Amino acid sequence: MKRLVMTSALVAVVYLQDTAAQAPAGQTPAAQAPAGQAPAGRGRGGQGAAAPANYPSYVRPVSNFVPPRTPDGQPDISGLYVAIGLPRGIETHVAPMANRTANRANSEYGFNVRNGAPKLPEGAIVRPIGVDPPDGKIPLTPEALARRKDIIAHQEKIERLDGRVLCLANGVPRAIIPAPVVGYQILQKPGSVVLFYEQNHIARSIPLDGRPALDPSIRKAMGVSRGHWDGNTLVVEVTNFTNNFENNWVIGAISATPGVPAESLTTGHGIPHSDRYKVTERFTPIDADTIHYEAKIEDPKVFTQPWTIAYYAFSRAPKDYIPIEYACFEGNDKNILLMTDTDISKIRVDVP
Amino acid sequence: MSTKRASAAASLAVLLSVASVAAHHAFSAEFDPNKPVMLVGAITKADWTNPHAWIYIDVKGPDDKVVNWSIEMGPPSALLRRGWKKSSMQAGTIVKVEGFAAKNGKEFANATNVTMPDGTRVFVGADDPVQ
Amino acid sequence: MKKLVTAAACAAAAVVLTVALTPAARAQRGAAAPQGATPQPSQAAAQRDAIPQRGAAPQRGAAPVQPASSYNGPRTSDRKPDLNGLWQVLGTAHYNLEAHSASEGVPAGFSVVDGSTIPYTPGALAKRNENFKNRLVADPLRKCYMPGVPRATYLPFPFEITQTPKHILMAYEFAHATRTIFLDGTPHMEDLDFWMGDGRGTWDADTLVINTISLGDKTWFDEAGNFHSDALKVTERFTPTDATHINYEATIDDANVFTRPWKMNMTLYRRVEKNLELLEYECAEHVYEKVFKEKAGK
Repeated sequence: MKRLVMTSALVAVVYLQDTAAQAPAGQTPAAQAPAGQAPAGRGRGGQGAAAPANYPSYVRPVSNFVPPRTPDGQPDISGLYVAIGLPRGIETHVAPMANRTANRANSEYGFNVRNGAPKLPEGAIVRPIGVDPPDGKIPLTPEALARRKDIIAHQEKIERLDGRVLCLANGVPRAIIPAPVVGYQILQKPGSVVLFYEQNHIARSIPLDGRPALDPSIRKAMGVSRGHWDGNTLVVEVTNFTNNFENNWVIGAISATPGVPAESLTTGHGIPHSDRYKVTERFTPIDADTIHYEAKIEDPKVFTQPWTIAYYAFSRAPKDYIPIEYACFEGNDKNILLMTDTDISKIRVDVP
Repeated sequence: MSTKRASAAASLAVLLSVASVAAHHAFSAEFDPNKPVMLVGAITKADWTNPHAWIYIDVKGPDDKVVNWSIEMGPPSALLRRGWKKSSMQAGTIVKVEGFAAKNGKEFANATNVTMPDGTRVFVGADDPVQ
Repeated sequence: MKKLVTAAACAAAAVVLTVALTPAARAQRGAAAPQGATPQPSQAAAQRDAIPQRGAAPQRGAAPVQPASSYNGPRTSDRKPDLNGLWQVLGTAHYNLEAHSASEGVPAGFSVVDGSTIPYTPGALAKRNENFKNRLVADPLRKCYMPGVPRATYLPFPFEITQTPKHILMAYEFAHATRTIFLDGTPHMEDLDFWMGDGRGTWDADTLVINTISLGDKTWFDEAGNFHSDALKVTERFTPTDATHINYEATIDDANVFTRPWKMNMTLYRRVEKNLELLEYECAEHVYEKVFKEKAGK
């Protein structure tokens, strides 16, 4: 199997090309662009921006893989996984090189691509994860873009600082646009699938029993999930999101690159969501080790239309992988002090 | 399949050791890449916490005044993979810290490497140094 | 304590003799028992003549020679009691593990501690009393820190158990805290600190036994300032008595703080209402709301 060599300029998000699709086979646009060179494109965001227009239309991955079954008959996708560590650009795939600092991957990339990311399925094509609309642009309303600019321009204020950096729950799909350094666990029990995210220790229970949607007065930062199996694909509808804060972004890879203005921030950071926010997810096992992820994102108060991201999200963790508790809020006050000059260490709240 | 596992396993140590800070927050929001520091001092306290482990060291300044510095390291999972545990950070241990100072000018630094009394130099940051 | 053990041993013996066991139940319980094994002669007689005892006292303290389980609730595919679902403790342990009268905002409550009071060393008792005085500032829960073990079990929220043969995930509403218990035979990780500890579990007949270490020293046991050092080891026994009740016992072992190990006992009640699911108590949001309000007020 060809080893997919990653360089720092490489796009990492992939989807499997359906050989029956019309797009030409073997097309790997920009995949071998040397570091620092930008493929021709719209030129947004300066050096490194690339138009996804070269990429073939998104086709859902087709797989002949038949997963084993759980005792209650679900396709068995349970196990420990690590993120397929790939840059999480939604609209473009190349990190602004100028924003890198010595010894830090301070960019839209999740991690050091020297690691040798888990192998991707044969024929996978590398492209940004925004697959619909076809140009990959996040379809924000003008009002939402204005709010986003304000949020991104004031990251030094605690009221605007990225919610994940504040150790708020990541939301959906952001929790699956990962911190690839820590892993995931999928558990299954009769009647539900449970997704466990190591970072910030979040468990998301997905009932499969067709129970009704939850009262709209009950909301969760991770939304409320309702799932069913469509063949070997787990389909999940997530609604009832809280939107208590401007800065509790539910999309956006890793953390926002400081200094990059909202218009050039192609990763989804800083996009607020309303009480109408809804995500429809598809988790598809491609082979025994790989799960493909697709999410349709809708919010009529924020986006002009629904839009979709798709990429290979999970790879089975190596046998010697040790899941470790990843607490967040407990150890965070010094970082918040350094980032926003706000001391939260003296705050006490009432608890039940 | 086994090749894939082998390469994934071989790279796991690096995989787990990098970029969790990039995953948590941006380095340059807190620390200044133009302010490298080297600090030598005894550990007074250690917090084995996420998102970052912290050690606190008493550093004698040029004026002989002792100042306690807060040193941010990578997350415990990263340290663990490099062989660090709680007892690696015992109070009284004299260490040398190479890193970058905080933007706000106070006694905070982000550590790239920590050199132990026996001369072992451990990479404790959240990123691979060759970047 | 001694009297309790003797009484419990008698009760345990009584349970062994009087609880009727169906052959199917016996075959299920012992992993070594071959399919359709005939019971031993003495027990066969007990089976024939026994009158089933409803609400037989669960075993406490004494370790029975034969694990006599009266559990007849649902089982998982690997024949363990099915603990999947939402559970919750009633009572006032989360306020104060020891017996207490009511105070403003706090109901009165019985002790859940075997022997009634926690056996602190004199120095530690002084520290506990100081914690109590400072609790509104010193209680780590009021900083939205994860509650630790066993406090997470008896917080006034439901928690969700997801049970598989190799892992049990417990998810709590408070601060979306979780514990993953490893039943895969892997060893503890030593010389580390985790808020919810490092828990490894096994099944002792129908009792889930969890050993947890690496708990650090920053959590409390309740709102009353009961605390521990980083030498803490917790052994929990979850003994389901039927489909909707679990007898929960936690042994606290910390020689830095207590004169001897001690136990707490309480009942876990299954939340049986239809279509219940775990909700959230995103405590950190309340911290930030307060911060933002204070900043706006300036």
